[in-house]
Amino acid sequence: MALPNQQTVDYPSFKLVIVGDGGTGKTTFVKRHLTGEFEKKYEPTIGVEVHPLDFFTNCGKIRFYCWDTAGQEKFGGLRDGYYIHGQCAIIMFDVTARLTYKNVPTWHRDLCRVCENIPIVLCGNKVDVKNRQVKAKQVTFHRKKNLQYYEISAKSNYNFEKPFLYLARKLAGNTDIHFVESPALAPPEVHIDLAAQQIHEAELAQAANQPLPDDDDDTFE
Amino acid sequence: MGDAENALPPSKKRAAGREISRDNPGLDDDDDVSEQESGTFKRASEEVLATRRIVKVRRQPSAPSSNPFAGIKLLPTTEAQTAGEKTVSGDVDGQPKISAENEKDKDDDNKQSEVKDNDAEVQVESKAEANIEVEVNTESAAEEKSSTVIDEVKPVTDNEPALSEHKTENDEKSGDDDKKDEKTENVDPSGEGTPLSSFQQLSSSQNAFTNLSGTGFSSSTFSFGSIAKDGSSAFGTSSVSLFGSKTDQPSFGLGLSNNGNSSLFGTSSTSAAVSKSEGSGFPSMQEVELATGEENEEVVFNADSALYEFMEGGWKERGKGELKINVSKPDKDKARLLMRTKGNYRLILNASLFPDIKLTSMDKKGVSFACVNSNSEGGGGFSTYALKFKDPSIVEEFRGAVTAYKGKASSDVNTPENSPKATTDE
Repeated sequence: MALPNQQTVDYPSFKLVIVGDGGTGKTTFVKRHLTGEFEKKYEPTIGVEVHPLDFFTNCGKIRFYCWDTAGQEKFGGLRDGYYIHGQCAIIMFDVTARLTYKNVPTWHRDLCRVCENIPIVLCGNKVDVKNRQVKAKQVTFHRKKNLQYYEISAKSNYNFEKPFLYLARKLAGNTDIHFVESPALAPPEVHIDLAAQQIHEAELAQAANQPLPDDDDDTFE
Repeated sequence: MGDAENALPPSKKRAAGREISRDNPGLDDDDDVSEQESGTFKRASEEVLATRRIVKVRRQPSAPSSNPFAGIKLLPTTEAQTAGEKTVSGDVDGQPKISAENEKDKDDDNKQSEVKDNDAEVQVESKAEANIEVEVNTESAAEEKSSTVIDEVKPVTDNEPALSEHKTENDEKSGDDDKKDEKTENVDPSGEGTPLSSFQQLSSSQNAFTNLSGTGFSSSTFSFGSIAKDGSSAFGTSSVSLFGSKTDQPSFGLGLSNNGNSSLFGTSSTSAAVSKSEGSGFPSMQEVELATGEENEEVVFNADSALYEFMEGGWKERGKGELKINVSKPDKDKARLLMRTKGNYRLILNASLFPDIKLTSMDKKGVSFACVNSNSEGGGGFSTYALKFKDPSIVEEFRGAVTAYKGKASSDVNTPENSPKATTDE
């Protein structure tokens, strides 16, 4: 289902549709995987953003084209037009906002209307937050619809790879799939250009004055 | 044609008629359909094997999709279920009957013979016929034809009169068609008792339907989806798979997709388009040896850490995971920093240590330095990174290891931390 301008790859690739109410963390979740960043700023997604996301598994490399769709209705763009050819999906809600869970059935219905029989993961995001509004026990929708449910936190990375792992297994029909270390070729030798280094010193100094982001000390929890 | 559509009772749920009319170039649609259908069917037949006896039969005489679908749909509501059963039974022992019928048909009217003989072209023909007969919706006409075909094929005895009757009925009762559709839907989920073949017929019929509706990516598929989503997981895929077949990229997972269900189910449902891709694509996903690139290296330091990159005046997190310092076994002077994200094992840091690397303390638990991360997208250039560890003592260990392995060029080796800790690490 590659887009015209998408580079094709010689390993299996899948279109992954990510839906859910606005502000539940879809974009942050994708970005977390893409760059490692945790984006605190909320900038609503307009329409859709597509990002290729590669994973190395014990069965080779696979790629998800993540269709990160707008959650906010007013920015919905083509809406379920983005779902076409979707081969797997993530429905995300925010465990700190009950309404986002209440809307899950709607997202699921719309999704299934277009993609009838694809593996879907339900993700309750932001489980790192102390006072949740949707407790784990209260999440039952996935049982009725036979979805997989994960509690995740894009902030603490709790379970953040699980949705992809589940989908990979489902898509491959192989429950033994797991992610493996991505290969690391030998990096190039560093030859220091004095001038360049001088310039860099400045940045180093500047960087040293900036404190590292404070993760509320949950970095290693 | 428009009149005919409008004349249809509002109960007509299937957008099929409307859509086709929308796309009005019915001929084109039909052509496409026929091609696609043939493709889908072939695949389906390959996979499904024995159950698909039906399919085989269809291959020879007429397009399979048209058969089941029409059979189910066209008959009046009362007949619908029975018709479905008929199709099933006919399928089981279908081959002899069909062949016999073919002969019969040849003897009989030209029309019928045409219909039966040409598999893939059935729809086109049917359309042509439709045009001849009455001006109805192209869809309905096609359906009728297909239905007629089925009817003919199965009940050998009462072929032609029945056919004509059905046709007329269908023409008159397009509304009935709708009802039939609903019925078929209802039947599907409940039809667990019915043999698999019937299911597949249904699914294939859906394929046919989508085909009939032709270009309708949107509505036709949607309508089906709405039907199939809850009850029958198997059916859904078919429409999707169609699309998959259109685009070059095979849809690997479709067959296996249903959330809870095993791949078995998936394969059966895959029927048409996916089968090939599946065969070549994912099932072939077998255990592979993936090199980590560290085979000839020794880990001299490792610790959980968080990596940040300084960009545009601020620190951006790059991930958390295990940081390692690896020393090349063949060349002890070569060492590198290596880090992968915990969980997805994505490589986020891969940089050579070099003699002039400078470590700057950040807060208590952090340390920053410049390096060339070969993994960064920026490519090649120096960039400033910082690592944050759990504990200040680990920072000191890290410093020691870096100092010990960064290379000999700079000989300012004797910082208090370095030597003992490095040795302990080893």
